[in-house]
Amino acid sequence: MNFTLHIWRQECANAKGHFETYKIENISPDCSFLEMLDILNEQLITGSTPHSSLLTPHSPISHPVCFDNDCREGICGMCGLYINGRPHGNDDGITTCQLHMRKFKDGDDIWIEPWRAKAFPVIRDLVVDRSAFDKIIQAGGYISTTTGGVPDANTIPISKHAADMAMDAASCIGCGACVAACKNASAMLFVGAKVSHLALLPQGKIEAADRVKKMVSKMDELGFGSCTNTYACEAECPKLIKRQNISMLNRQWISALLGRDKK
Amino acid sequence: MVDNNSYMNLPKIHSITKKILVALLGAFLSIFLLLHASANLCILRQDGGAWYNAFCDFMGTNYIVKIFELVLLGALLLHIALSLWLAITNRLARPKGYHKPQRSKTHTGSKLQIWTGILLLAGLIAHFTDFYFVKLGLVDGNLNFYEQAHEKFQIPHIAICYLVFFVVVWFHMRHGFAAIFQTFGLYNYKYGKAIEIIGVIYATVVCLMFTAVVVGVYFGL
Repeated sequence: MNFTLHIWRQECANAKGHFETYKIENISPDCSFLEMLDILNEQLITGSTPHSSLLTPHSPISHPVCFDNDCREGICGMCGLYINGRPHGNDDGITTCQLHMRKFKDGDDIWIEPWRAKAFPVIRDLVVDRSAFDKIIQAGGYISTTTGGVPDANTIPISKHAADMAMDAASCIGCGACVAACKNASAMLFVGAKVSHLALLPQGKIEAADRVKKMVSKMDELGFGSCTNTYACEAECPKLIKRQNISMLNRQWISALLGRDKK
Repeated sequence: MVDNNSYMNLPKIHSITKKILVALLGAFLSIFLLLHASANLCILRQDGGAWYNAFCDFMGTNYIVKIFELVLLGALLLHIALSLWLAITNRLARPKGYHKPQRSKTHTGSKLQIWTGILLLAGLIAHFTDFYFVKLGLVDGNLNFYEQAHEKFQIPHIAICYLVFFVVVWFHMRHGFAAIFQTFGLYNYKYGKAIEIIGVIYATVVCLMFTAVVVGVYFGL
């Protein structure tokens, strides 16, 4: 398969970026999107790929295209590219590393951009700084007790429904696709998932009100937008985290404001 | 350990609190619209406006209603102000947009909500100029609102403008109804679809009630 790639190139955080266009040929349909970028980078290093800056009169950047990746099996949340208008590309419930080139048509133009949000500044090319998520977790997304050894599974009875909901929420890998997809660059789905998975379990309920106040405060402080119920986050989440977690976050917030945790 | 004071120095009105206030005021305004539409149906009675004018007299002279009027106006202004504040904050959260337009599967109503809101504000100013500002003495006009409604709604372009206005109200309310439940934390998958359907029915009923008056008066029914 042959493709024309339009890739966002930016030398550093403070540099002005631009799109560069690359022609890439003989790509296997079974090749993953990141493997395709690896092939492109190999060709850039050897100088065998013709490329040009079509949209802006910039001189082409010669270094390989920088992009985040790690596990390449959809569990770490490191990779994250905005491909043809969708975070993680044109498929549902997958990360960028799980996207295959067979999802495109031969000869397609593919536009590749980094996540765009004030809280996720571009570091270089397609790499963004997602430490804002770490700061939100550091603000209160944990249980502040020493848990000791692993207890017996039946020591604390938890309903199947609550356990399932908590497990679903806990499957968030913090990739940032929710922020990238949201028209407001809101992190409500991420924060909702983190608040829910702890608040649904007896161990996390004790600090639930304190946790939600701190995480939401930090979220606002870092410059994320607010939720306007578009649900693009839910549509693009690679782990299929549901909007119900945002509702849960709102409910936790109202409970915290009303001081119900003081009982 | 969790630091109990780390959030104390941050802005007092958090984004979720603003959303909750917008939803609360939106719910209040939605209920008022149903009352308003119900009262308007009196215009269609073939009684020379006796019922409708009696209702207008009650609304114009009762002190409790006058207090409610101020509360309503305050709610409307606060709803607008908070929504605009949120919209501006949300724009600032993404200083540089994407080159390719978004192709995610999303609710269109949400994307249109701020724009339908702005259109509603323009429509409300026109509506107030026709009726409410006349009552306050800010604009010249007929204080008999039954006659005023007949004068206005029999002019084709005004009738069409009102019908367009009701379509915009429908879009705004349809999204707003379900959004209120989500913002209050009452949404879940068991009742989510039912909430959306009830929202569509509520918005449709209210807008049809308003439409019936304009269409009825225009065609002399």
